[in-house]
Amino acid sequence: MEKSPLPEFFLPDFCRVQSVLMVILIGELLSVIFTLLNVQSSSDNWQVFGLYSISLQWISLSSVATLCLLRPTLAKLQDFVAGLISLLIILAATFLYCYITLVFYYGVYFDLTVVAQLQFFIKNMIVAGLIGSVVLRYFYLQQQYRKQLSLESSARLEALQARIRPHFLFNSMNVIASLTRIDAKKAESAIEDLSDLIRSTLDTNSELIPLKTELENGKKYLSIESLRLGDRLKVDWQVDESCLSVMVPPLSVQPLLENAVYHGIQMLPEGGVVQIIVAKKDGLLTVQVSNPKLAESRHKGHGIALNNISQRLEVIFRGRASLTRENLPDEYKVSMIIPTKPLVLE
Amino acid sequence: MKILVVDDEPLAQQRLKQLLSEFEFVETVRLANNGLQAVAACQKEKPDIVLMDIRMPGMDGLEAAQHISKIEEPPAIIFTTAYDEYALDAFNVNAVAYLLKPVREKNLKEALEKACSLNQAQINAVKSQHEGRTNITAKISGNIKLIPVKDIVYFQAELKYVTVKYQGGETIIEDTLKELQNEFSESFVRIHRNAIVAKKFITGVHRDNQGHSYVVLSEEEKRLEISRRHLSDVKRLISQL
Repeated sequence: MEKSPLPEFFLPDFCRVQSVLMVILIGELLSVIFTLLNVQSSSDNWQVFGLYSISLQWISLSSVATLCLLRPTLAKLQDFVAGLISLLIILAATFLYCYITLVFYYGVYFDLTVVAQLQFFIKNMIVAGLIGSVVLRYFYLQQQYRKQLSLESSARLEALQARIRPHFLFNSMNVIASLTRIDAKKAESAIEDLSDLIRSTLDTNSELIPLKTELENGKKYLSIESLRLGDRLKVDWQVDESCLSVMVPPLSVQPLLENAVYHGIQMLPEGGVVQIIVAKKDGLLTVQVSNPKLAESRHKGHGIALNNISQRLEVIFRGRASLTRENLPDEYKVSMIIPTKPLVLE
Repeated sequence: MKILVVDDEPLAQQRLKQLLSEFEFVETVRLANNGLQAVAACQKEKPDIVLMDIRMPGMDGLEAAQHISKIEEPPAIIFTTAYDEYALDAFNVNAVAYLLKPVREKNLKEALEKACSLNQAQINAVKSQHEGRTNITAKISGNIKLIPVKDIVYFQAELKYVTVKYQGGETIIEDTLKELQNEFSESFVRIHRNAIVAKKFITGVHRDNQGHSYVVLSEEEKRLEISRRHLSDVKRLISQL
C-alpha cells in the first residue's frame, strides 16, 4: 500500500483547507463559550463575542500557519519534543497577540497599571496553554488510535494470506511421487512450481503485487493440477495485456482457480474448461473465473476462500473493490473487481 | 491376489500399480476411474482387495464401498486418501483400513496383509460420512444392481418388501421405507404409510368420487393413494412446485 510521506506524525497537515476551516470553526465555538461565561445584562454581548473571535482567530490561525510551515521539521523529532514545540508556538502567538493588544488598544484607550497588564498576560497565557495542551493531546490520541487500527488490519491480512489447502499439497506430493518413476523431468518442474506457490503463500510482506505475478502463480497452480487430472482439466485464458501491471492483493486470483478445480472440474467425470477473463474498463479491473459444475452439487465449500478474499479486499480497498459470485445450474462464475489505481492513504 | 485400484487421477493409479507390481503375492492389478466402474468391476472380476480413493467424480469411494459390501463374498476395501479430515476421524474410531497418499510401500504391504472385508460397524461409519447415496443397491440373483436415485419414481412397501419403481423397471430392495425417507427427505415425500414418492415426478392430486386422493405422476400410469394424514403435506408441496 502506498504510504503518505509522514505517516507516523501525530499533527494533522494544517496546510490543507479542511484543517484550516476546522480550526476556524473550533475558534468560533470557543468564542461562543467564553462569551456565554461572561454574559452581562449591561454590556453589549455581541461586541464581547466579536472581541473574543478576533483574538482567538488571530492566535489560532497564526499558530496553525507556523505549524504548517514547520511540520516537516517537527515530524523528524520525537513526539514529545514536537508536542512541546507546538505548545510553545501557540504560547508565542498568544504572547505576541497580547503584546499588540496592550500597545495598540489598551495602551491607547485605557491607562492600565503594571499589575493589571501582568494579570492580562498571565491569564491569557494560562488559557492558551491549557486549550493548546488539550488539543495537542487529542491529536496524539487520535493518531495512536489510527496506528492501532492499521496494525490490526495488517495482522488480519497476514492471518488471511498464509493459507494453502492441505488437499492440494498432499495430492501434489502424490503426483510427484508417481512422476519420479515415469517422467523425472516433469517431476522436477512440478517441484519447482509447487515451491514457488508455497513461497508465494509465505510472503506476507507485500500487500499488493502486480497482476502479472499473481496470474503466473495461477498458471503454476493449474499446471500442477493438470498433471493430476490429466485431460479432464482444460484452461482458457483471455487476458488483456494492458491489465498486467495493475496491483492486486497476493493470492486473490489463485484461490478462485483452486475453487474452480476443486468444486468444478474435479467433480465432473468428463472434466471441463476453466475460463479466466481479465479486462479493464473505467478505471476498474475485472477478473472473472468460470467453471462448469455438477447440476446438484453436494459440496458446499466455495464460501471459505471467497469470504477470505472479500475480507482482504475490504481491508485494502475499503469498499472500492468487490467479489461477486453467480451460481448457475451448471456453471459457477466469480468476478473480482478492483480499482486500477491503488488507494492513497491520507 | 487380485487387486482393483480405484482412482480418478491417472498418475495416482499409476503410482499404486507401480508399488503393487513389486509385491510377489499380487497376481493382477485392475484399474477403475470412479465408483460406478468400481462396483461393476467388483461384480465381474471378483477382486480380493479394492484400493479405493474417497473423493471421485460421479460416485465417490464411500458410496461405492456401501454398494460393494452388499455383493456376495465382497472384497476387502482399503481407502486411499490424500487428506480428508472428517473421514479420517471416523476411520480412526472404527478402524476401517485406510492409507494416506502418497502411500508408503511398507504401509501398503501391511494393509494388504491385514485386509479383511468391511464389517457392519465399519459400513455404518462409512454411511455416517455420507450425505445420501446417488444409487440404490438391489440384489438380483446373487448380483447387485445399481439404480440411480434420480431415475426413481417411488418406493412402495408391500408385505415384507419394499418395491422400487424407476424409469425402466421395478425391483425389490432390502432397505426399509423409514431409512429411505430419512436418507432422501430432500427429494422424496411421504404420501402414505406404505409409500414415498419423488417430488419431481408429482404433477398433481386427483380426488375420486369416494373421497380418496391420489398423486398423479408424470412417468407412471398407476396412481398412488395419499392417506388423509399426508394429504396436506402433498398439497403444500404441489403449490410450491
